[in-house]
Amino acid sequence: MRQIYLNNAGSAFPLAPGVEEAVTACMRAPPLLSGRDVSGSADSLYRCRHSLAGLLAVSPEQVVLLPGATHGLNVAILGLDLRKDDLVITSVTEHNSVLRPLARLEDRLGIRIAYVPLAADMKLDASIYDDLLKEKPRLVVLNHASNVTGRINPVGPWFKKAKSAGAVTLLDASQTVGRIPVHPHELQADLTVFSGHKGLRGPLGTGGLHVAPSVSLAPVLVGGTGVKSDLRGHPDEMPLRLEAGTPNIPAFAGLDRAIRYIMKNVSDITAAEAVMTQKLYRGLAEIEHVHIFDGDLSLQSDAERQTAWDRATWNQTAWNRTAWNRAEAAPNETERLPTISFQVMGMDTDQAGFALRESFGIHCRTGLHCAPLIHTCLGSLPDGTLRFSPSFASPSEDIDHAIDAVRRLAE
Amino acid sequence: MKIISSEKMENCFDGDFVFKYIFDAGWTREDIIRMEAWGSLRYYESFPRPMFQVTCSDGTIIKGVQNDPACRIIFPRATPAAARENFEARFGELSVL
Repeated sequence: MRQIYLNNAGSAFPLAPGVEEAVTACMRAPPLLSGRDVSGSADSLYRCRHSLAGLLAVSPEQVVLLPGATHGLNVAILGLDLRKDDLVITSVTEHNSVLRPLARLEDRLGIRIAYVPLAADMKLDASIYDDLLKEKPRLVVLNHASNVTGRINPVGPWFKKAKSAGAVTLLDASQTVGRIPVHPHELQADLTVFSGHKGLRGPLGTGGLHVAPSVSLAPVLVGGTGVKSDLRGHPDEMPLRLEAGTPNIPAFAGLDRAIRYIMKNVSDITAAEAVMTQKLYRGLAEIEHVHIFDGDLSLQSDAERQTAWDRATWNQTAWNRTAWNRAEAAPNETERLPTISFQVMGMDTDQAGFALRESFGIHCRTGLHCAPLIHTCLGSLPDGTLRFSPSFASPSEDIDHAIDAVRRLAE
Repeated sequence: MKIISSEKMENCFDGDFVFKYIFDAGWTREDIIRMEAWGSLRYYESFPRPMFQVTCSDGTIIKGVQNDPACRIIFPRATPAAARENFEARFGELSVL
């Protein structure tokens, strides 16, 4: 049976052309370069760092290469020296790689966390955010796009307000880097975390963090750096300050190759994914008994939404201020990535995912997608959602086949 | 059908109650229909690879594909050990049916 991969929001497949060859070439060569030669153009880390700097329009010495976005978010959140009663504003759309480090600091240090909920139009609630900013947060953490709904958040203007309120701004760009432009300066992001294996289509276990020169992070890990070994303590300069231990140089050689491909083709990628989003969304929306979780709550009763709301078990000072209203906002493919969450009525998501995989050869994600809070607002608890996330590399007939398979499940 | 092996699986939620079982033969249509006696059966015969889901009276959920020797079992959280024992014992029943 033909296998169809629709989990690019998790990890991209196939990888960008040339990645496999770049990784293999690096592994076949003796590791003569330390990966720390900041002036050596032959050095894989040097090249990858400079490619990322070009992609993000930042200085390469401020780009920290790490094993992934989760690592980057931990380095950022744990390195900020947050203290008891410091307020951190984040949103219900965040991934556990944001929520769990914050929860740990809440438990251990007594920081306060406020979660911006979704408004009736499924966008982050701007009025609640504005109210929270009056409480002078120390940190604002937002993702650029939800990994559940694909909705792109208005981080630029929101971060501008946050900085005016005195907060450090942290952008989780895991879903967007490589798919839409991510320029930390323009987006007013002091800290920008990215993943290498999603939109950039590089190897698993790659990612990183951009740190604006105005922000200083305490290193979470210290140790070997391959240079400045005579110092008693860990080097203070960037990016070594935040890069302890031996990096996965072959993987970053592959990531460098992927970035070069993406940078050459980004306009085609963006255009192709916009068309695909529209096709997939419309195809699924036409199927009776399929509920897409994005701005259209018309299939849920008020009681169902209230039940979902009541299930929330998290600390939620901000949540109680949200009023739910019926909304039938049309999806706008310019405001979203090709990531669509849905349920097939009468079939739990695990069963539907099993059927898609085992009976139709379609590989997608089911469940909470490591973003538990958004499901309380979407009304998709307890099962979560099915998530289709194709990419520009997905053949058009794969989308047709996926839509047809969902139609058969819904019959 | 005889159980060849079983292993714990992870899913998005608590995977402590999810197991994959491998049997000595694939599920036939007759095997699948017989399981209706254990609870409610949903059998999607028209799918490219026909699949089934049985929700047993004790809450155990069995999912599999026709002609495939594997299946996925979700045991109820309240009584996972008893449900597992019950499930494994049932395959004695099925093999003699």
